[in-house]
Amino acid sequence: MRLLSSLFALGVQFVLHVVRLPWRKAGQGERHFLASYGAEGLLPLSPDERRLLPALDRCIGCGLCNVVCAKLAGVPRHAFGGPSALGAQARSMPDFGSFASHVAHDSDCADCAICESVCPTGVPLRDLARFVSRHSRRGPG
Amino acid sequence: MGVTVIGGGAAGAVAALAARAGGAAVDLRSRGWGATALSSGAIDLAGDPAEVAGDPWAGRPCAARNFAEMLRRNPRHPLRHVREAVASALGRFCDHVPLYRPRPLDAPDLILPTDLGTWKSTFLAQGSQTAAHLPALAGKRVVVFGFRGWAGFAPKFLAASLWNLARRGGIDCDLAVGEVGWLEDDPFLALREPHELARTLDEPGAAERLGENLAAVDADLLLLPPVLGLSTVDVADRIAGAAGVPVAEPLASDRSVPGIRLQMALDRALFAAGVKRSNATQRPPGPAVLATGRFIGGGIVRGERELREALFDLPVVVPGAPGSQLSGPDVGGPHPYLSAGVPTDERLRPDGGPPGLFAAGAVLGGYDAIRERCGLGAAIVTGHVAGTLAAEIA
Amino acid sequence: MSETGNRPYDAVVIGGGINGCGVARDLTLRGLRVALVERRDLGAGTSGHSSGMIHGGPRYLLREREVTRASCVDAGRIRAIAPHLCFRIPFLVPILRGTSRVMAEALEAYMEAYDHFAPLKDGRPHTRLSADEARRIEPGLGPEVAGAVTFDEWGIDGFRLCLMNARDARLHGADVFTYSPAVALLRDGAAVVGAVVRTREGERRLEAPVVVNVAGPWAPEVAQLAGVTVRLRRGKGVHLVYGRRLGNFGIMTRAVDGRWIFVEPQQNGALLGTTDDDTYAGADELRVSRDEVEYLIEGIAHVLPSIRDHRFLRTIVGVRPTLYEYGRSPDALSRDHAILDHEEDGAPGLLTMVGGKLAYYRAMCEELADAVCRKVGSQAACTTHVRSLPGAGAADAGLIAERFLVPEPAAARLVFRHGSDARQMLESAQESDRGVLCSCEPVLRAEARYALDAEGATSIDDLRRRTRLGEGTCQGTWCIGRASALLHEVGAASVEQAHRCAIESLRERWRGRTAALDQPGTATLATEELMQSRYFLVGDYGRLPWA
Repeated sequence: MRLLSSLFALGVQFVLHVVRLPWRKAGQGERHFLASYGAEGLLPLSPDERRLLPALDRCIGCGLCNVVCAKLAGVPRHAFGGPSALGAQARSMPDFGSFASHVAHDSDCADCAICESVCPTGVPLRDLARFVSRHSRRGPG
Repeated sequence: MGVTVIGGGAAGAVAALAARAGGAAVDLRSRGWGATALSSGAIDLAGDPAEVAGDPWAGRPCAARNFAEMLRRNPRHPLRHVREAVASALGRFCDHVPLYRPRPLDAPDLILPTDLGTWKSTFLAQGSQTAAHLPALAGKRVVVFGFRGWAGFAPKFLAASLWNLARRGGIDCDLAVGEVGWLEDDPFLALREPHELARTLDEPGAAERLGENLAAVDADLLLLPPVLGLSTVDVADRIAGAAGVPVAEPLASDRSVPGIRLQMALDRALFAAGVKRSNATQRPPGPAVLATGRFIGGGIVRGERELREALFDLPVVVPGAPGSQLSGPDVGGPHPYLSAGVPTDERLRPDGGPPGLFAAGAVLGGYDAIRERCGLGAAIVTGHVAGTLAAEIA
Repeated sequence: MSETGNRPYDAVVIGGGINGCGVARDLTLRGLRVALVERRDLGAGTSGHSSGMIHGGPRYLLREREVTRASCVDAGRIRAIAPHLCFRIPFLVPILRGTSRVMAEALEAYMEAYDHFAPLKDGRPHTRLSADEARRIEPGLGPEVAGAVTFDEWGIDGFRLCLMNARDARLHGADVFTYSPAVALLRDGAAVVGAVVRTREGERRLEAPVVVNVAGPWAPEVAQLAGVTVRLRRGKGVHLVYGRRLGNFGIMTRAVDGRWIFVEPQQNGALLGTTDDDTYAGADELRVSRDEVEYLIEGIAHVLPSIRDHRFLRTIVGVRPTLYEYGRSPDALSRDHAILDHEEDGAPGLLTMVGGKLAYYRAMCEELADAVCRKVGSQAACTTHVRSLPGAGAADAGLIAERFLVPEPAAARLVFRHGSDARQMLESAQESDRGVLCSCEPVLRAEARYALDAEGATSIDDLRRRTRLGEGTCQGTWCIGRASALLHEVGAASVEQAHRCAIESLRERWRGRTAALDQPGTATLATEELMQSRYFLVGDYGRLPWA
């Protein structure tokens, strides 16, 4: 009985959907999707970011990059965690806004690359900093 | 034609230094830090194979005796090829890295505290660590100090655990807890990592100041957090001088400063010996030493189906039957993957390798650095021999 | 945990998963005296190993439309009472090349049907994407993808949800006993009048006119204590855990055998799941095979080829307590729930609830609580849908970071887990507790201490469930040792216990990692090497006298 009523309801929906097809406007899907979710910071990755992501999985959290980070000494320590914080903690794009002060401080050190030179697994830390920086600005508010 | 060394950890650095001593020009290529920079400060040569739980220092084993037993139990151990070179390799290592003072092979193993609250036996340790040798602490008073406001070291837990384990091993010493101020003006002290604290102790006068803060303590030994300098090697001595009491730091396993100290000391030795550093990636033109490490170093990688050697695609052997699991039945091991590596002949030339290629260190495989407790020792001895052999044909 | 005197209870609830915690809260808010007993830790069973979603169950539109409606209503309510624990997950359902026009339109019609219920849980309307649009939203979609439809669901932290329900129950007078298995039921003739539990301090008798069996996959064993047979189809479900979000959107698609599987962002990681196979093994014997791993990866790789380039950290495996029916495949079994009154089985006073989904736990528990109240003669009405769970108020991570000088990423995770309670926790924390205990999640020492002092944590695994300590890329290599020292420092463990907890946690982490060792690359093996070096080489844990 439940099965029948469920199938019936779906059948009705299908018919309505087909009937409305000629009036459906193309190219609205993406716009609606981004409008629905963009405001909450749920944004697509760019093709470059999609290609970058697997390399970030190489981080094993060893912390050696922080040992050589030249920036670590001179900045308020709660606002900057060093490359190690990015590698181990920057894992959820909607949270990247909380790294905003972090990446504001390393707009210079994103290119010194000494952290990359000691990383045992070859994490592209500069690309990671740029990735986080882009999404920390795109966040809500 | 010079020697190319691939890998800048203990094995590669020692190989490069040995090749230089053999008269060759050396080009060392390294890509990142590895297991050496993460090591505890201890140089293991051959651990006591006794399976007796809770009493690892029964009979006070020594390296020479353990070494023979280790080779007897593991006939495939790469150190079997190089046993005559052990003493000279370790001696030369201590010359290059004055953090370590040489010890005779028949001296009882050091038994040192770790930052996990346990005691670990080892052959060599850094000068800042050796004063905490357990047998020397019998009947003595040790105060374990933390830095006020910094939770990166747990003196209460360490003191309780070390005391408990020492007593079970038949050694009674008094382990108390203390707290000293350091960097108290730093509003971010709670967030500092060990290497940041270590750097502050590198500054001129810092060690003396910390020592003065500890001057009134009634103790035979002060056990401080393992942050006693990064690029300066006499910090512990200077603290002790100002405090009037011997000072030591434990072996470190958590963001280890002694490991980084060792790596930096090796880098200094390489510079002093005139070893060239490069990023070159093409095939080495002449004799070469492969010292790329195991997994942390990236010398051995997991391919689609099996483990592979990363640079030359040399055959890799994982002990155990073909198709066996990489890991053992329990977390405590033994684990086959830890012994994976590149088999060699008696002159450390990898099976299936190009002529002129030697291998040293963790990439060799055939031994379990964790269970047999021979990691850095094997790296140094095989590195020394490989570098010497490579220089001979350069 | 604590208890307040030896007065008899109105109900003893056996099972500390989401249903146990949920019904304990419901009954307590209605003024009943409740004892909640759990043989391990809250949420340590099925509730902690699910996909972590309170979803509307769109797939039930096909056969059990009421289940979809009930799920959406309840998901909306759960979100209302614990907004800080919920995060939105938009899903893409790729339409594959070669799909007939009829099927594609049918799929969209299906989503339009779901649109009717989505607003009940603040869901957004579906969209229909062309191939190009879909690829702009998810650049990793493979050549097989010719378009997509989208919808959204809510993700949630299953452990925290259990915990907050139990916490609310405790705050209102319930007694909660963890690590206290029920070993017998008290009988008065045929009537069940309570339970005997084995706590860490010894056996306790908990007397109550009603005993509620919500032990999930263990419900049959608990029912056996009264000689009653309860049958379940225990469905093993495996997920792969990734160490980062692979994207902000989930992807739902069919695996090689036609089953629907998905990859979804789950807080600061991702889950790929799941399987559904009958299992007869005990909970601790469950293993994950290479076949299960490859089945899941192959299914997603069909539409997102780059999944193969990603490294998963571990596998998790849970068991669904699905309603029993002989002769159906696990996927086709009903996800409905059932409340069994064992008066009919000669054990009056014993109620069992099985089946159901995390997604509508609150409604299930309301129904169960109604049944309990009828038995004890209470007329009180349910209020669990209108009263917020602890921490449900707003909190600003940035302000907290500046005020207490803690890293903002740590504050953000703290606020996710504790909501409006986060500030208070830091106000009463000492200086050095602003430091970081778990460097990957991250977790502040203050939060870990709070979990030990005020959230009933007694072991490192308990800490992990409450704070996600050890769930990041290093899998506990740093924080397990640090946590064992903390356990000792707060007086929660002796030296021996602290070391044993560490080894237990290392073993638990390692078990999940064995299936991950076969992946290409070095990082997982490097993590193993690092962990082994720290604990078994430097720490020499293998030779501890109490290992």
